[in-house]
Amino acid sequence: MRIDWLWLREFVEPPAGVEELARLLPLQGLEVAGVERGPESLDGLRVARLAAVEPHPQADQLRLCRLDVGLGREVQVVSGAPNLRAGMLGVWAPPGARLPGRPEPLAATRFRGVLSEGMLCAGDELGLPGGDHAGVLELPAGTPGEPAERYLPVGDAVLELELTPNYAVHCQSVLGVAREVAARFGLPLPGPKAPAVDWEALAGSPLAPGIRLEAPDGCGRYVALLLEDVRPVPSPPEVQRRLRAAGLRPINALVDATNYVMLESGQPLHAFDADRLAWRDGRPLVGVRRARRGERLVTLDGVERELSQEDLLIVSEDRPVGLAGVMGGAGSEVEEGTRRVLLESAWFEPRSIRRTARRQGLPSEAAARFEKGVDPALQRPAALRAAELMVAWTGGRLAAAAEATGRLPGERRVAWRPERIRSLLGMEIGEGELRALLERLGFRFEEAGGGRFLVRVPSWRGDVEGEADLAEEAGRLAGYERIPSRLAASPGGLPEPDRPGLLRRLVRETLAGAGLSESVGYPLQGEERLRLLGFDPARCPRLANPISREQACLEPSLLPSLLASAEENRRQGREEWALFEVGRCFALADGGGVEERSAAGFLVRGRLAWSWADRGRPADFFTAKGLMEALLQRTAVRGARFERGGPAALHPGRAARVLAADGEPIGWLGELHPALARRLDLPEGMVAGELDLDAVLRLAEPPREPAPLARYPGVERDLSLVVPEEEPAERVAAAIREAAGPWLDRLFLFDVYHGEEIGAGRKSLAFSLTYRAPDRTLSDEEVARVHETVRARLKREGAQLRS
Amino acid sequence: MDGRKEQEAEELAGEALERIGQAASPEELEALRVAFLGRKGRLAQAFRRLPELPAEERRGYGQRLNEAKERIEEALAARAEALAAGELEARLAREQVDVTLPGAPVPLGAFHPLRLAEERVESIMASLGYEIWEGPEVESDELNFTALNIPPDHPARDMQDTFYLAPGGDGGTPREAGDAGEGGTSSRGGAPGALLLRTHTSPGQIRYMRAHAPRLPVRMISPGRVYRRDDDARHSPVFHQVEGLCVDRGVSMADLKGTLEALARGLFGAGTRIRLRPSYFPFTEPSVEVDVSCTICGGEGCAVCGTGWLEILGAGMVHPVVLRNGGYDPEEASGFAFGLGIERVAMLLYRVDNIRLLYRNDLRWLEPFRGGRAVRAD
Repeated sequence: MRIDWLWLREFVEPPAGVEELARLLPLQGLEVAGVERGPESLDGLRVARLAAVEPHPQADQLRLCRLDVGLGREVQVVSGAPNLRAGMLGVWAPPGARLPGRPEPLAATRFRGVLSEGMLCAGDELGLPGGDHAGVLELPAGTPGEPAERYLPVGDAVLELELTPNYAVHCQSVLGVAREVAARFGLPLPGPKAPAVDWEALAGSPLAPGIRLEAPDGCGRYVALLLEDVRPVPSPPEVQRRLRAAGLRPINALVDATNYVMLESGQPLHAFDADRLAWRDGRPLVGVRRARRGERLVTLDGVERELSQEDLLIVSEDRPVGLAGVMGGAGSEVEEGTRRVLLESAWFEPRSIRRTARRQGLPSEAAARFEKGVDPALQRPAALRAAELMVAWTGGRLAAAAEATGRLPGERRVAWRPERIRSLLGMEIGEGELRALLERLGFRFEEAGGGRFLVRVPSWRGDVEGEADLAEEAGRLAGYERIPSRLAASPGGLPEPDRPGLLRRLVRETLAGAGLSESVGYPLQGEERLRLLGFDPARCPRLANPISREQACLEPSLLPSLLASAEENRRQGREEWALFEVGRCFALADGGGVEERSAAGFLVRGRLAWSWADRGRPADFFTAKGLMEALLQRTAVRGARFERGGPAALHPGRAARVLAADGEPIGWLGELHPALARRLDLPEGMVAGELDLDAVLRLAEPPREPAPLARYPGVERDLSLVVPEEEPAERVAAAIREAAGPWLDRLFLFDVYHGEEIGAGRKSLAFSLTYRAPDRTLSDEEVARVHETVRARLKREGAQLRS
Repeated sequence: MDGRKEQEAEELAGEALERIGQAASPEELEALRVAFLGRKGRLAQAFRRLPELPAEERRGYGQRLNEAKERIEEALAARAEALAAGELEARLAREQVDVTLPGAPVPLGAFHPLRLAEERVESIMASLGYEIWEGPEVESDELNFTALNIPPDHPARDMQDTFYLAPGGDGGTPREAGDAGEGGTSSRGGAPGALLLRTHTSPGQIRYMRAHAPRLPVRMISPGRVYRRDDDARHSPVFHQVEGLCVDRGVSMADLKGTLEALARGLFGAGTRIRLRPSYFPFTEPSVEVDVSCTICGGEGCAVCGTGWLEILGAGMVHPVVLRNGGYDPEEASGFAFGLGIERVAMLLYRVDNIRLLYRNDLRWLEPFRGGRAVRAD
């Protein structure tokens, strides 16, 4: 919302300049995005009368103007403006004058061989807010040679407000902002400008419009005025400037008057050419009804619109002539030949207007006000004000008036409980002061008997509903700096521990401690990318309205985001990376809902650490498995197993699923498929893994009671054996454990060897075994006996034992 | 008494001491020990001659010999110690390394600044007795909007453009790519059961209150990822917030101010000031924007803040409708709530000037965040 400073001061005279106001308004809730300042003075510029306008001898586009500037001689300037006319008053900048935005003083210049003594100025050349370059600025009055600034809006400025929805209800107008300013300084509250008229006489006129409200729930009030002998001439320059300064385009005095009053009061108005409406019994006819199925209307912008049965229409004897509160219809608007105007000033139900404006994609100035809720008491004064301006600017007269009412919002009253307001604000403030603050904003206090009071909410404050709103109104005017700071001790005891958060932190510490850096990913992924990574997009939740096809699905795993981070690092020329993320992934649930789960994922390529002393080794399957095992240990998940398999993104021979002790899959890990790396244009050799943290939270066991420390010495024996390559090491270990029985205290695989002397397709495994009894020292014979049992068992199973 | 014999003992000791003092190695020293103190050594020989002497000489001479033996033993020990010290010194000199060579690396990953900022907020609020609690990212229209006093067609829905989920129930059917209906507006909004990506962490207020009512007090913060349908240089469609909620008997704006002041000071330093400005959120009344004194210039006004104040969060007194929707009677309890943007906090704490850097995960940029976690920014 753009508010003109001089216009504002027609309503309130604050004891503060525009800059000071721009600083104060945000502290009472009106966000100021900026102040656009016009010139403080236009010293040296003179009023000029165009004595004559002649063609330029050398240029078709230019004119020679002879000006009377009160010097006793005419001066000549060259101008290209289209609106030059003998007799008009303009602003003359003589040579040597300084104009805003020009670093150099003006010089006498020749244009195509003809001397121009200074120039006639356009509004923008004077730096006026809303000044344009469509022609030279015409002054309404003045004597040639007088200082022009007497007739110019010097010292003007535009306050650019960014209104939150609640302030948009009552501050989308000069009047609304003036009320806020008045309240700030305790000045008398301004009201709408409206001429005094004999309403009864106007309503009694035989020309009084006929109004038919068929949708009283959608239209609370409809005021229609009939004006005669008006003309769509241009409106006065200062009016045009103010409209432009507010961001509207001047059209003609009749339309401009409606827009001017809308900006001034907040009441949108519409001017119909009354002669293009239906008449009956000598009266123009208007009405309000809902659209019918399949009904169409061509709006002012020339677009034919299909209407919905919810849309409110303005009709004239049933013919649609406007989309109520949003935009007028083509075919009934003011045009060049218009001489009679039917002026509409109505209150429409906000939600209905809002729906229509959104459905039709028509965010008009009128809709922006109606959909927030216009002051329901404003229709008549605003209509009369606009009629007054039309008559003043174009001639003619206000001939007749009519008003019909439907369902209007009632006056709102809130019980006055000052102690509640005080306790919400937490501020030391007396009842008297609270009342005074609210009264400054237009709230009124009514006795309700028994010493009780009701607060009557002013009609323009549709946003105020209850006690909490009163607290805000009084508080913001008192100033929130008066609220003390209080930090009460917690009486509620210790908060519940955040177990998921503690788990996430543990996981993050573990992975960062292993050399991986934390990534924060982007969970929206494209279908094609998901498919490329081997996920089934049909099982991923999809957005109904994505920003782009590449961001249409919620990712089912952290791998897509981690790969995106890898791609980013690859673009920076890196060959090695170690990343992890702890976040959420998503899946469609059976019932149509969405399942969210918390997961930890990692993606590593290259070495986690290396130096001159230790060259390190590039990450492979076992790096990933080591990371996974570390996570499981740290989070106290016991009995997890690994089995071959996993997502399609992995190398099928180097991928494993992680199964909980009960067989439930809780994660996966492995080397990425070389073909996938190629398709992503990433180097081979990436390893990845993911662990379901919701499952971990369920499975994590409390710390065990530690086993008693061994009191008797153990005996160590090594065991080296050769088995076929495909024999899982875990199976061999299980056989050893089983054969050795309870005396096997520790089993450790310390070497895996492939080599010619073993033979192709075979591997050598070397274990270290520690035998120990809890209650005595084992004798050599006992150890030899149990160790021989183990060897015999392995031999039986086909292993070749090495000595 | 014959002084000659005593002289002899003296000389023996003198010679031994001199030679011991010159011994250059433990071996040489051992040879000297044997030569003087050994069973066949010179002192032993002298002792063996003792009975041959007259009784009156024997006593004095014996005494002298014992003294010599003691002195030699002392000298041997002293010399052995000196030699060992020298040997150690030589070894230490040999074993010297170039201390400027890099150490054997202990792998050390970096934490993401967004998570670091979030953790800081969490730890401050936890110390004030707030429970940390998380809600789902996929929310119902009902909880994201309606229960928070934002009914369908409420003007405030303009403030947040929403991602809706495609209607479910077709989980198993593969679809053609490209039928996602991109470019559409949130026309599906309003149906209470409609699923959406939460536009703020505020639905957590309702979920938490419903789980806790009627118990008091309620003190909760809820961090998490949120989504809005805009994408430009200053916004990301995905970002992070922390919601805070405190409900109890007699909670006022003074509690709001005190708590947020404590949070701001915990984050940005003890000298930080806050300022409340009236604002609007449908789920709080009164509503305020909270500014903190600029963390860079301290409130003087600089290129970052302009006015000396930085807007960091929105807050307010929980709207009576929201309290009721959460299961609390506004006549009994009142509360305040706030929502803080983690990106904003991270950018201020770690002086990040481009929000996009937060989502790139460029390791060159992340690696400096290996350290500094416990270090305050002020």
